[in-house]
Amino acid sequence: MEPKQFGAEIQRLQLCINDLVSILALPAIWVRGEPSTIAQSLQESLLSMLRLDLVYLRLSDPVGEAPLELVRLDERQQNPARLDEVGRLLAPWLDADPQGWPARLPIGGGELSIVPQRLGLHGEIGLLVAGSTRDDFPRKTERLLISVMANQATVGLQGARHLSEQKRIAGELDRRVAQRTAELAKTNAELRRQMSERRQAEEALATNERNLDQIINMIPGLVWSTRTDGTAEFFNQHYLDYVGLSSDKMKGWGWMTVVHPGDLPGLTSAWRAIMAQGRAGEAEARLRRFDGEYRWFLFRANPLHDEGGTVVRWFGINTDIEDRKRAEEALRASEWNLRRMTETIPQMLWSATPDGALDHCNARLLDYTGFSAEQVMGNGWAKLFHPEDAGQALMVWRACVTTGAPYQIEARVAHAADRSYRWCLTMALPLRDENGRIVKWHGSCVDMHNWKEAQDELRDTQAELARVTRVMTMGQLTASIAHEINQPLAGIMTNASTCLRMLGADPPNVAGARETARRTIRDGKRASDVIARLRVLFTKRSAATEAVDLNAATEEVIALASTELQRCSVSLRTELADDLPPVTGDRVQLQQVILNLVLNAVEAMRDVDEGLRELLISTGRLDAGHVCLAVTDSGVGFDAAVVPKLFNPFYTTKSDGMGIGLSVSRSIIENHQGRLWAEPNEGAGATFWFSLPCSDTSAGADGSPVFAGSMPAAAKTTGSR
Amino acid sequence: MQDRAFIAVVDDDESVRESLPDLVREFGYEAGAFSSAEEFLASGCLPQTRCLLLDIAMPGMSGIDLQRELARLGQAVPIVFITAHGDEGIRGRLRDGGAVECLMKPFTDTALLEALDAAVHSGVQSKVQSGEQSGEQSGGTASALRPGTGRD
Repeated sequence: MEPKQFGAEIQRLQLCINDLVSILALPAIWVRGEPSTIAQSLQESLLSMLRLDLVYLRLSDPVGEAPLELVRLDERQQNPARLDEVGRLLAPWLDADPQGWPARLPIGGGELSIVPQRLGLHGEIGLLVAGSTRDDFPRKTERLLISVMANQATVGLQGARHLSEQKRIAGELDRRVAQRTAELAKTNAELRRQMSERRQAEEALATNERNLDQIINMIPGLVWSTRTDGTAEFFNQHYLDYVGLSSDKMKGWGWMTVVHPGDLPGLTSAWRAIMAQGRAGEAEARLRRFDGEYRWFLFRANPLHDEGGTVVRWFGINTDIEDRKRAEEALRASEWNLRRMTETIPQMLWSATPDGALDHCNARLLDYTGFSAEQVMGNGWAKLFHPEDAGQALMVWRACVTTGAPYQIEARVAHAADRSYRWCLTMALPLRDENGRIVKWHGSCVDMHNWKEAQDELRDTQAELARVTRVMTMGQLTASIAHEINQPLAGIMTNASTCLRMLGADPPNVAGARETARRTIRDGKRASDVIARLRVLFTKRSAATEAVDLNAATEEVIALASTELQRCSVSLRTELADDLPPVTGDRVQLQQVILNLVLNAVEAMRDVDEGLRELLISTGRLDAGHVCLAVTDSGVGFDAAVVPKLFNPFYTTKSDGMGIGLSVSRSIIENHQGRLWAEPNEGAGATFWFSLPCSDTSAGADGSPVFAGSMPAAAKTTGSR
Repeated sequence: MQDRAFIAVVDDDESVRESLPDLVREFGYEAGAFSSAEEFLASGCLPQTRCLLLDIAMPGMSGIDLQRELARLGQAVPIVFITAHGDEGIRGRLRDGGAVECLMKPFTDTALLEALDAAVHSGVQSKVQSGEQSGEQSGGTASALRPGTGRD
């Protein structure tokens, strides 16, 4: 070897040693460095030391994630295209054993010499690849430097990895400690809360127990409890105060000493039965008071069960029922008295429960009807009635039981003595307690057969009298009636004669004849209407009950009497109220009254000058429940003193009258629950009034009279009865 | 029409005013109907009226009132009263009072015809006597005065 050559070699080795020293110093710099910082420092050092074109570094991730790849190229070649190319060049070999790598790889028209070096004994840290386009790469020293650098990097990266792992573990530890601390704090708070609640519950329980003690001692009854064998273990203060004994003396079976000896067997057997059944029960017995007086008590016992349903204790309360007992006894006594009385009174009596079932009949009622008590009790009483009346009686009775209205019905009741039915008035009234609830119905049954027959007879007689009076009244109208009938008769004869003459003419006047024949028929109809109207008033008929329009009835009477009024030169004025509610009654009889009043008025004006004969007929409401009709004349009138006599039978001021018209009129009005009265006018004449009840109360309900005519003083003061 | 004697019917009943003039016309007279005495007096038909068929009972002026009024006016029109509530007593009194006749409803057509003929005849007599009547209507019998001959 030439000395010059030696010199160069020495210089080269000197450089190599310098580089080695630099490399060996690197770990000191890397201490506490991040793996990526170490990798960059490594790449920088290698590039600058060895004039390399490429340093590839792959760091495997200790946690198993994707490895970190770092590529450094010579600054002149540092561009993306070059990087891609290098990536493609190395990719096939990266996972191969470095021993199998080719020494050179073709790149960009030339060749790249490469040195792969494992990091870690088995490449567990990663891979280092150094590359250069130099022909002499790698020289031995360069190979050594790369190898040493790889070892140093391995050491540095392992240290960094440990450090990073330590940091991670430390962080995880901190996190877990913090989490656990939070959990503990939470548990702690929960515990505190539970403790606080528990304390409150305990306080509440204590308060409740105090309250319970107070309540038990405040209860206005004798409270006690026993074990399941019936031995007593507790008595409230009331109990002890009542009996005047200590709790010790009462416990066990001691309480039996204060029970009335006469009631003890019954009470103990009842108590045993209640305990045997295990269900709530009650019994009555007398308890001795501290002063020795016995009072009646109602013993009530209730079992206390555990979760399994077994009786573990008995609680009881005794209530003082002394007063109730006395009242019951008094009631029983008074009921017995009442029964005895109902059997003695000469009346048929009965009673029924609030729901309408018959629960008592006195013997007189059973004897009368011939039924036994069993047959008629409950709903069997319907058998007592005539089959035709039973339905109506049942219907009315049910309505009364529902509404509480007094029961009253006229019906035929079985009569055992002659096996017939007799008319009886059956009545009942409800007995109510202090709250107004019906507790009983008390009824009676009165035989009114003879009275009713007499009543019917009287009614027939009255109707006949009314009819006869009607016929007599009509007698006063004879002249008017003759006129009413003669008028159409004249028409008939005239028209018929005209008709015949028209037909007999030459040529016959057929059209004229037809017209006169038509008039003949019309007049015939008119005559027949007159007759029909009269016939209603003359015919003998029983009284009918219907809704009567007083205005319409009045107008018909006026039509009947108009000829008479005209004949007597009486001028008529009417004031009939609109919307007059109907009255209930017999239309013909009411018309008879109106006609009678009208004819009386005409009669009263007979001696007055013709021009002064004025008649006013008016209708209207008297008050909410009554309508009235007034007939006012301008006749001679009468003295107020004779008013009471006016309506007496056979009282008359007329020379040709019988004096029964007003008497009959008044009985008709009174049969209609109405009133008929008279009074002198302030001026000439008099006014006759009658009022009748009406069903409609919609108008004038405020009580103020609504009357079409002038209201007399008497009507204002006495009309509302 | 001038030939026919005019008969005035005065009655408040409408059916009478409707039927009676027809029958009177069948007898061959001329006829007119009035619902009241006042209406008749106001109608101006009085001078031509040869006979009055007059209802007695009417509201306002009655038949008797009208008879008195005519007498007061000096109008001697023959009157035949008709009434639905008359009797023989009234009939006598009315005839005594100057009426030709008083017919009670219902009456026959013959009775009416006789009364009318008598009335018209008496009227002719009285008018002839007073010299107001034209010659052609004088000297005839009652039936000769009727232009149309009714068949009884």
